[in-house]
Amino acid sequence: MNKSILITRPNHDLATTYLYWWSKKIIDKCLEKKIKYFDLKGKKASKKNFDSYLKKNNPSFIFINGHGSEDVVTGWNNEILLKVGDRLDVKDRVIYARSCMAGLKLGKVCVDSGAKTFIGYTKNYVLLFLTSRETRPLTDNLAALFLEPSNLIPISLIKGNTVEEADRKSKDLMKKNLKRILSSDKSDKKEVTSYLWHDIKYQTVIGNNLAKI
Amino acid sequence: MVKINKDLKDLVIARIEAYSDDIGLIIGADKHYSKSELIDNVKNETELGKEIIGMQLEYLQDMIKGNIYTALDQ
Repeated sequence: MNKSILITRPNHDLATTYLYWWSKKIIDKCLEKKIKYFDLKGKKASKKNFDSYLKKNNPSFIFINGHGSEDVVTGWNNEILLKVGDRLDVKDRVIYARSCMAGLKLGKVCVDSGAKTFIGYTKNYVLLFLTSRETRPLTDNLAALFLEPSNLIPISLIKGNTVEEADRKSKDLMKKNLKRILSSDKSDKKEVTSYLWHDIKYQTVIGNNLAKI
Repeated sequence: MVKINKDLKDLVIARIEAYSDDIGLIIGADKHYSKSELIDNVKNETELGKEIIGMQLEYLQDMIKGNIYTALDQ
C-alpha cells in the first residue's frame, strides 16, 4: 500500500464549502512533505471517482469532508461514498471522516471490514462561523477555532504520527482554544465554548490507535 | 413527546441572544443557521432546537461537575 491520501471535498453548500477551503491546507501540507495525494474536489467527489481512485491508487489514508450520519458519509450533492451494508474498500486504510455521526456505526463497520482505524464523531460535528466571512472561509477566525484543530488530524498523520497522537494533538488544540476563551475576561468569543466542548467530547477513534498512514 | 422545561429553554435562548449578530452555526446535513434562526428553533422546540438545548445543557452540567476543567488540565 502506498503512503498516499485520498481527499474528498465537495462544495455544494455552505458547510461543505467551509470544509473544502480548510482542506486546502492539507493539500498544501502534502505538497510540502512530498506526500502523494488525490484531490476529489467539488463535483469530482462522486461515488464513481471515489471507488475508482481507491482501486487504482490504493491510498493508505482516506480523508472525507462532507455530510454524514451514523450509516453513511457523502460526497458531491450528498451522494453516498461509504455506507453500512455495502462492500467497503477500506482494508488496511486509516479513515478520517470530518462529518456528522459516522463514528457511531459506520466507523465500527469500516474497522470490522479491515480498516486499520476510523476517526470521526459520534454526534453531529458542529462549528460556528462568521456570516460576514462566509464567502472567504479561510479568513474566518471564528471557524478557525474548530477547523484548525480538526486539520491537525491529517497534518499529524502526514508528519508520521500515530492516530492516537493525531487525535490527542487535535483535542489539545481545541482545549487550548477553549481554555483561552474561558480564562479571558474580555473575550468576544464566549459563545464558542459549548460547541468546542461538544466537538472535543464526541471526536472518537475506533480501531488501532497506534496505526500510521 | 418530551416537554422541554421552560426555564431551561429561556436560559438557552438568553445564551444565544448574547451571541454576536454575525454568528452562524453549521450543524448536521447541509444546514447552517443564523442567530435568529437558532432562537426560533429553540423557541419552537424543533429537532434542531432540542439538539441545541441538549448541547447547552450538557455543557452546563459538565461545567458544574468540573468535567471541563478536569479535561483542560489533562
